[in-house]
This record gives sequence, structure tokens and C-alpha cells, in this order.
Amino acid sequence: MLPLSLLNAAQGLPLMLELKSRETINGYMLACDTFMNLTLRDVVCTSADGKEFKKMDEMFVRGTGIRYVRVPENLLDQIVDERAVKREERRRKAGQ
Amino acid sequence: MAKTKLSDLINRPIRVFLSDNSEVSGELLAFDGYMNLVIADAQEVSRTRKGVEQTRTLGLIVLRGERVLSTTPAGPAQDRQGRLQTNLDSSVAL
Repeated sequence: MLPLSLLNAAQGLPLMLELKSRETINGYMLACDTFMNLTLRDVVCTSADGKEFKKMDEMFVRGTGIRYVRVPENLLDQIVDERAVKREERRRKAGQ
Repeated sequence: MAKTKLSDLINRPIRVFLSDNSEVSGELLAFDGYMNLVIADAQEVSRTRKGVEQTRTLGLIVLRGERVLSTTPAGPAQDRQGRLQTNLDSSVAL
């Protein structure tokens, strides 16, 4: 499981990311690409000092500006489950 | 034998030093060629110029590799519940 495929699996889920400027962005991820560019919806931006908040419907974040992305804790378990289901399906198809 | 590759540190607690004088510690789950890291139970320690440390709990994160300076192992392997894992090396030693 590569870092970018983990991010890919987080589509539609709420994320929190911190930029190099220390601003944080909360929102639901719509899509991401191999540059770590992200599009988010229902976004709240928080300034570096935590005093100012900006609300936006949709936002594009350039990957180069990101420090880290926080993903939901249960995402890993979800991926493991999904993989198990897929494996089971494949096995059933192969058996037919 | 000394563990020298990043792949040897997978599922182990590590400390990552970043170029802005901060560090992130947690369990390394995955990495790629950009040195993007997936870290579980991540804690960020940032230092101000006066040497004051500030710790923040981040949880499961994807850390962008651009600012990673170095990584170092930070203890024996543990599973996600925090229990010590008896790996092959230690069972041979016993």
C-alpha cells in the first residue's frame, strides 16, 4: 500500500491537511492525482495562528504546498476489508 | 545485523526529521520513491527558536516526502495495539 494509493482510497472521506505555510484545511476529498494535488468540497481553512477561518464550497490544493495529510483512522481497516472481498470475488469467478 | 534500509523499518516505530526543525514519530506503514511516508499514531514535535517543544497528536497521516531529512528507528516492533511483537530475530536468540 503506497502513500498515494492510500490517499486515493480516501476519496469522499473527510481529510485534514496542513500546508507548508502552517495553514490547515479541512474538507471532504473529491479527487487526487499523482502529484498529490487535491480537490476538496465543504472546506474550512484555518490560518497558521488558528485565529481566522474561511469557508469554501470547493477548493483545489496544489500538491507541492502540502506538509502532511491526516486521513481517517479506520481507512486502513476499510481497505483491508475491501481487498478481502475482492479476493473472494476473484476466487469465486475463477472457480466457475 | 544493522537495519539500513527504509523497508526494514516498516511496521516499526520511527522518528522522522523534517527540514523545518520539526520531527514526526510514529509507526511507519508505507513509503514510496518520493519518500512520502504513511505513519500511524503520528506525533509531531515542533521546536521554536527558544528551544520550547510543542507536541501534537496527528494520528494516521500521509507525510509528504519533500521535507523529509532523515529517518531513524525508535524502538522495537509493536503491533497496532501496542503489544510487543516477538519477531524471528528475538525467537532465535531465545
